[in-house]
Amino acid sequence: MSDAILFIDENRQDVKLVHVMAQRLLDPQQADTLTRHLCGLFDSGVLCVLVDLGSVQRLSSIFFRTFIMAGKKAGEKKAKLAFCNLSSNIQEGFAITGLTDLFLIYKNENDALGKLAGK
Amino acid sequence: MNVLSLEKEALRDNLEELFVFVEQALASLNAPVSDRGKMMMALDEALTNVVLYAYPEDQRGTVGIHLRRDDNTITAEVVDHGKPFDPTAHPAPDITLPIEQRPIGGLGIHLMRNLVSSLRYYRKNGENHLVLTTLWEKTG
Repeated sequence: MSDAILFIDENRQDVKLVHVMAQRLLDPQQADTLTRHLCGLFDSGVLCVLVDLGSVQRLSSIFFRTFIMAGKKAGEKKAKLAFCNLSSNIQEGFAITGLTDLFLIYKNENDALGKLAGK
Repeated sequence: MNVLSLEKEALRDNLEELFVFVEQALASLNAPVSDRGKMMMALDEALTNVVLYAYPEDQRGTVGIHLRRDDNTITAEVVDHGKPFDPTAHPAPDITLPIEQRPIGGLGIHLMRNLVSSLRYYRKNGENHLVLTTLWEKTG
């Protein structure tokens, strides 16, 4: 499970777009990898990260931990962490756990990039 | 009654097989497509919790999953022989806290509770049994 490509980064305007490539985000090792990557981006001075979850069909709460840790790091660095392309199930998971109140969530990447560029 | 079951060693390497089994079992039991995602998410949490936390690192153990359908109900039972742990007694996290005060863990049980119709725990013969039930409205 951990051998597949987990994410691909792309620079778009002033936003670092992180495309998560896995269909299932359930593996604790993958969660550790993504946590290190997202926190590393903020440590390196990136001020806005948009995580594209469009490929993800199943997601464990271990990854909510990842997102909260990255969100804390973003807060420390006065940076922003946002998400786009959430499936209905993942959107529901975000809502149940209150993550929708912590992060900027957009319907798709064009919507996100348009709005994040103006913030 | 048709019960679909799988028992594996509680190892991280076996999680993928368990997740795939759950997906295939829900399809085989004809659970409504609209409810399968929530059931899978709840069972992913339950199975992951057993594999990560039920047994000390130096002790091997098993995780079992049993699914059955009765009319418009799916009942899933996750069984392990690990240390006693009742997730239903776990306090709900405060999900209104701002990011800087948010604990990073504790969301999995909260998620499970809110994804299924009922969550029940019992311990019997040295086994933890977590029973997740999903009920859906009949149509037609």
